[in-house]
Amino acid sequence: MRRPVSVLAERWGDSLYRAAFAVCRNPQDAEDVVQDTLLAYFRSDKQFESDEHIRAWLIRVAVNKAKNATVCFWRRNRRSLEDYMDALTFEDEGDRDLMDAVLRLPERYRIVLHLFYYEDYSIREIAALLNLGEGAVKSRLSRGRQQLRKTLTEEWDDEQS
Amino acid sequence: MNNRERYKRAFQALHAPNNEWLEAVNMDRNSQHTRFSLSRRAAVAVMIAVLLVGSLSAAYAADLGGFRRMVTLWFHGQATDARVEVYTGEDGGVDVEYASEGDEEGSPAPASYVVTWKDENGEERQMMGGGVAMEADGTERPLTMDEYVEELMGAGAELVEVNDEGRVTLYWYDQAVDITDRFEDGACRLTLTHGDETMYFTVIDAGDGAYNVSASEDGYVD
Repeated sequence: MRRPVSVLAERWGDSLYRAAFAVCRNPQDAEDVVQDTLLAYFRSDKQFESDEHIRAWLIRVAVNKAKNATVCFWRRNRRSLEDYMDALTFEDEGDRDLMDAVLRLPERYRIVLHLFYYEDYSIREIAALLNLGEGAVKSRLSRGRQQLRKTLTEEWDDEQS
Repeated sequence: MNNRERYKRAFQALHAPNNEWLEAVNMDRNSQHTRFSLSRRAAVAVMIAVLLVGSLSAAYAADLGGFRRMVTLWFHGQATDARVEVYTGEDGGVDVEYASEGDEEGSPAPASYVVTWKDENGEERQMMGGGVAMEADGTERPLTMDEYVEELMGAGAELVEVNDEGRVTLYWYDQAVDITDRFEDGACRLTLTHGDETMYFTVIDAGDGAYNVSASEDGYVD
C-alpha cells in the first residue's frame, strides 16, 4: 500500500519535523529533512504493509537525513538555537527547560530519547529503526535519562532503566 | 504528569512550517523530461472549458518552477500523487513526442499537458491533453499551468479513460459511467449530478483513442 504525499505530510509532517529537529537542532535543516524525506518517499517504489510501516520508514529516513545534516560541511546562515527557542510558545515554562535539556544532550542520546518518549517506540523497535543492538539502545536511554534527571532535578522523574 | 507526557508537551511546541516545506516537495527539478513514450492507444486528450467547471479541492500543489508541478489529484475517487507538465510550443501547442504503434518515435502530439501518476498496481500511467479558456468576449486562449492544476485538482475533475478492450469510461467525482455505446455521430452527451451540482458533459471522439471532454453547468457545449 501507499499513501499520497499530501496525506503523509498532513498526518506526520509535524512528527517528522520534531524528530528531525531533535537530531539536528536547527529549524531550517529540520525543514529540509522533512522535504527530503517526503521526496524520498515519492521517488521510492516501495510498497508498505501498513500505515505504521510507512511511519517507521519515514522516521528512519528523517533521522538519517537529520544526522547527515549535522555533519554537512556547508551550513547555511541561520537563526541561533537560542533565538529559535525564544520564539517558541510553550504551555509551561518547564517545557522550555526540558526541551533545552534534551537538545544539550549528545546526539546519540537525543535520538533514542525522542523515539522512546515522543514516538512511543519500544526499545526493540528503536533498535530496529536505528540498526542498533537492543543493549546499545537501553544504554543510551539510561544515560540520557540520567543526564536529564541531573539537569532537571525534580522536573524529571527517576525511572528504572 | 509523567516524563513521557512532559516530553510530548514540550516538543509539541514545535510545528513544521507547512506552506514552506510543502512547496519544496519537488520532483526531479534538474531532470529533463522533454520526450515521452506514450502509446497512441493509451493517449487520452481532454479539453477543459475553464469557465465551466465546478468545485475545486483545497489540496496542495507544490510549484516545481517553470512548467512542472507535483499535485494531488483525484483519480477514480482516490487521492493520488501526480506530476503535471505543461508544454507550450511556439504556436501554443506542445512538443511532446510519443511512440507510434511500431515503437518508433512519432510526430509531435497535439497536446498541452501531460499528467504522470502511478496506479494502484504501481504502474506509471500518463494522460495527456489540452485545454482552453473562454474569455468574456468569446475568444479562446490556452490554459496556464495554474489553471490546469486548478482544474485537474478538483475532486470533480472529469476524466475519460479508454481501457485495453476499448471501453470508454467517464469519471466524475466518484462516478464512473461507461459511455462506449452512447456516442451518436461521434459525440456523447450526458448529464450527471453530484449533490446540488449538475454538470452537462459533451465527449467528442477525436479518433485514435483520443477524446475531447467539455463540461458546463449551463448546458451542453457544442
